[in-house]
Order: sequence, then C-alpha cells, then structure tokens
Amino acid sequence: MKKTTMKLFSLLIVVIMVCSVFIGCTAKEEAPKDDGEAGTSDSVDNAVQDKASSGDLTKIRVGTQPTTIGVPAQYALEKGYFKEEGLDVDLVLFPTGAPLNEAIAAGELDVAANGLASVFPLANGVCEWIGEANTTGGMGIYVREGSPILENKGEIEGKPDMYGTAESIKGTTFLGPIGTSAQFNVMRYIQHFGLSDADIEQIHMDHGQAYQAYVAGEGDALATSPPFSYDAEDSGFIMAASFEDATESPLFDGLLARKDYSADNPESVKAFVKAYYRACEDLMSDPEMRKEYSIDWFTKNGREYNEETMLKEIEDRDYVTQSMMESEDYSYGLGMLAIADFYTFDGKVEEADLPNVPESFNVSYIEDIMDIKINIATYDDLK
Amino acid sequence: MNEDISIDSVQKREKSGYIIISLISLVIGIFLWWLFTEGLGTISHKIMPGPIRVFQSFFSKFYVSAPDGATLLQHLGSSLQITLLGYVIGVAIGIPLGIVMAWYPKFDLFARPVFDLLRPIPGIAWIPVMIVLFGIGLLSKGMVVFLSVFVAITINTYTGIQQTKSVHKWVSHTFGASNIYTLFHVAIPTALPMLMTGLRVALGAAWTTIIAAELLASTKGIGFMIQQSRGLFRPDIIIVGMIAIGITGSVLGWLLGLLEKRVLKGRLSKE
Repeated sequence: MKKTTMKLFSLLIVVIMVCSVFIGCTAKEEAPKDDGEAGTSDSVDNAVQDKASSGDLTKIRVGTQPTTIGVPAQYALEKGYFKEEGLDVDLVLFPTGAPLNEAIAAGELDVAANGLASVFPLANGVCEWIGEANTTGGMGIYVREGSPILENKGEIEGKPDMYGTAESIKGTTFLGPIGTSAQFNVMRYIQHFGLSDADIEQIHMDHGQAYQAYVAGEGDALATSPPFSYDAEDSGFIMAASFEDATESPLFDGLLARKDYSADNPESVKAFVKAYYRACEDLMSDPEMRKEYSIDWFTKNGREYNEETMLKEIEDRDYVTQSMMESEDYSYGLGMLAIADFYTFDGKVEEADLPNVPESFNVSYIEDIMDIKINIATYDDLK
Repeated sequence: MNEDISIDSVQKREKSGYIIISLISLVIGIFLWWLFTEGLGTISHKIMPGPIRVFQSFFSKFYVSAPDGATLLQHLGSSLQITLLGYVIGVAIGIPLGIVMAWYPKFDLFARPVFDLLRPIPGIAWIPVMIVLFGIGLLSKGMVVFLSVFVAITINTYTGIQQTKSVHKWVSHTFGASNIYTLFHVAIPTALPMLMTGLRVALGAAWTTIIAAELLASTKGIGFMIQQSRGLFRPDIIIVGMIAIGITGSVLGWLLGLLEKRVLKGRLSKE
C-alpha cells in the first residue's frame, strides 16, 4: 500500500515537472510578441498573433552564426518580424561557416546568413547570394612587441600604417583558420612584399584557439577577427596590417538561399530578406540598442564581449541598409568575387567554377522590396 | 593421409567460398553506391560523389595538392608521425601502469580514481589544455592521440593481469618464487593475449583520434585534409581521407596481427 502511494506520488511529481517544462517553453516563445518595440503597433502584434495561431505560417530553416551576421536574424525572430512576413523561422546556429555550408548543401537549411565561407556554395552552384548583411571591419594581422616585422613601417606605397619588409616577414609563422578571411588576409599581406605561401607557414587553428596559443607564446603572428582582434589589442599586440590595407577588398557577410529552394519558394525568400533588412535598419538606427542586444545575445552563446569591445565592433562594422545600397560606390558582390578569384591560387575554388559566383548574385528580392536599382560587381571591377 | 587431404581441400573450398561472398557483398555495395550517385544522377556529386569520382580523386590526390595544400602521401606521412608518436608513448606508459595497477592493490587504490576520471574524456576536449601544456607542435597532437591509446592499453593490460588464476600464483609462491618473479613468469605471460588485444584496440583508437588531433594547429595530415574539405564542397576528398585512414589502419592492424601471432606462438611453444 505504502509502495503504491509512493509510486503514485512520484508519478504525480514527474507529470507536474513535465507540464512545468512545457509551460515554461510556451511562455518563452510568446515573449517576443509581448515585448513590442518601436514601430510595431499593438494592432500589428495582434495580427501577427492571429496569423501565427491560425497556423498559416510558412516554415523556413535558417542557419547562421552567433556573430555580427547572426544578430539581425535573431533580432527579427524575437521581434516577430518574420512572423509578420508569414514565416515560421527555425533558426539554427553554427560555430563557423564550414559546417553551415555542409548543412545547406545537404538540404538541411533553406537560407543562411554567413560570412566568407559563403563563397564555396556560390562557386559550386548550390546557392544564390541574395543580400549583403554587414561590413567586416576589425580584422587584422597582429604581432608581439619586439617582432622584427615592426622594425619597418610604410614600406609599401599607399600603405603608411602597414608594417614589415620581405626579409622580416619571410619565415614567419601565422596562426589562424585556413579557408577563411584570416588566410585571405595573410596571403594578400605577404603578396604586397613579393612573397608567396612557400615563404611563410600558416598553421590552421580556429580563431579562439589561435588567440589562446598566441597568448601562450606560440607562433610569430596572429591573423584574427573580432572579438579576438580587440582582445589582441588589449593584450598589447600590435596590428601589422589591417584587413582593408592588406586585401584592398571590401568584404561583406551576407545572405544565401539554396537555389532549388529559392526557385520553388520565392515569396518565402523575399519575406526573409525583407524581415532581415528591417532588423538591420533597426540595429543601425539605434547603436545603444544594438550594443545591449548584441552583448546579451553573444554572451548567451558563449562569446565574450564587454561594452568596450562591442563599441569597437559597432564602430568597425555596419549593417547594410537601403541608403548604403543606393550609394554610388556600393558594388554588390565585389568582396565575394575577390575571394573567389583569390582562392583559385590553391585550388579551393576551381577556375572552371569562377563564373558561378557572379551568376549566383540575385538582387531581385532586394530590388523588389526596396524599389531600388543595385549596382552589381563583375570580375572586371577587380582590375 | 587421404582423409587429411580431403579435409584440407574442404577447408580451402570453404575459405574461397567466404572470400567470394565477401567480394560479392563489396561489389554489390559499390554498385548501389554508383547507381544512386553517378548511375541515376539523383544526388549531385558536390553532395555525395560516386565511386568513380572518388577513385579518380584518390589517385589524383597522390600528385595534386589542391585544395588542401598537400598530396595524399604528405598528409599520410604527417598523420602517421603523430599517430605513431602518440601510440608509442601510450604503449610505453599504459602497459607498465596497467601491470602495476593490477599487481599492487594499494597502487591501484591510489591511481584508479585519477585514471577513472581521465578515461571518459574525449581527445577533442583536451585540445585547449594541450596547447597550453605542449604548444602547437607535433608533441601536443601526439599527446591527444596518446590519451586515447593510453586508456585502451591500460585497461586491457590491467584486465589481462587480473585474469591470472590464483592457483597459478599459489603454485609459484609455493615453489619459492618471489612476487616479482611470479609477475614476470606467471602473470605477464597469462596477460599476453589481452595485452595484444589492447595493442590492436589502441591502434584503432589512435586512428580515430587523429581527426581530433589534427584539429589542433595543423598544416598537414589526413584529419586536416578532411576538415579542410568539409567547408569546400569536396566530399570526394573527405571520402578519400576516410579510405586512406581505413587502408592504413588495416595495414597497421595486419602488421600487429603478425606480431601477435609470433609473440603468442612463441609463448605457447614454451608452455
């Protein structure tokens, strides 16, 4: 009898716990709707809730990373912008671009917000480049104080802030992830001094590991991006070359859609692009809100950002807005073309696949949404 | 005499029959692979390459360094160096530790908690620690491999020594043998089959850990090649890496099998 009572009591506790978990989840999901924000009226909220509850939202699987590129996606999700556009977004986070590429190739994602690694699905004809999301400032090559590279500055014409000579760079060991902007940065930097990859050593490590190893005294130079570039500066390392100086390429993170998905679901892709850019406009118009929101989201996803590093990132990285795309010097896809062209040097992008990159540029969604005309880059613009 | 010959020929026939069955299963497997990829063209080669493309990539990788910066033999040489370094250190430490833990209960009580704590930690989790302790050179990668080898070999040696029958130890002691003499002449020979199994298991563990080890500061290696190809839409190179790991692991396992036969055969003839 006593045993049966205990069993019933245990069962009751388990049922209560399971119910509380579900109640907790429901409350959290509804939170963004109740949140409200500037520009979203109560009536719109109600309409969104009605639409959501009526179950006619279109499911879309979105991949991104907990970095600058991912913030607008998360923000739009929380503020209900996707739901307003009729989308039920399943947001999946990846630590880097490589596994995200795998997921999109395997058909596990429909669209993505990704960085430089986007060039590979574009070159392989798997995806379309449907929008550019943010500039990628704050990246660079760092060396320790006392490095021979620091003995000469401004040797290259037009690069007064760039350090180094061919002799001092030769034999240097660079730490950083190969197949990313870090490698692009290093290779372009050494090419200014007439050197090739045979003259240096590049050791492949993720940004976090590379920074940790560099602090521990390994390697001669560090090629990295925010927040590790800001940490490097705080640790007293000196920037030998900024990404912009070394590569002379404006690089943008951006939005991808699987070609087959885009062909079958153009309305969903358009809705995604619209909600994403709405979030970009919000984040750009309110830097204080962007700072608070980004720090909170990065911290929740294990990235260490403080107010100072976040302010540096806001200064270095802009989200792409309509006004930026309308400006005369904006050239859609120029960064992707530069990277595709660069990666033919070691066969990461095959020469035969180069035409796939400009062919993947699809600005029709943006032009329809914003009613603007966008200047699209070609390989000739790289010359 | 005639009966012996007929038994021999039956055994040979059975053996060749098994080989044919294995070959047929292999051929069917490759045919189905080809059918769903290159044959029917249902899956793009950028997502899942067919056997013809993989074999082409396999052979071209012997002289082409794109897209990961080295040829297959250069990658293989680098991986073998790391694997064998980790394996040799793991065996050199794991076998004595397993013996001492199994033979001296007090030492077992002392060492076991630490060993049990380290045992379930996967190699990949050690990477940040290895960077701090051993830098980013060969040694740190070797140590990631070492940890997986060390666990496998220690457990097998420990179990092997513990399988020594008490009656054998009593007999040894009754005849005046010292504890050390009994260990070397009774317990260790008893443990040899388990120890050899440990060497084989540890070799497998070493090869599976190489992928994790080469996540750590690499410029070459089969694991590095696979990792690089992941984001580059080159699944053919990933499969080439898998085949290379499989073939090399099998060859090393076969060599170890020869050693095992030699060691255990010698032991049996002495007995």
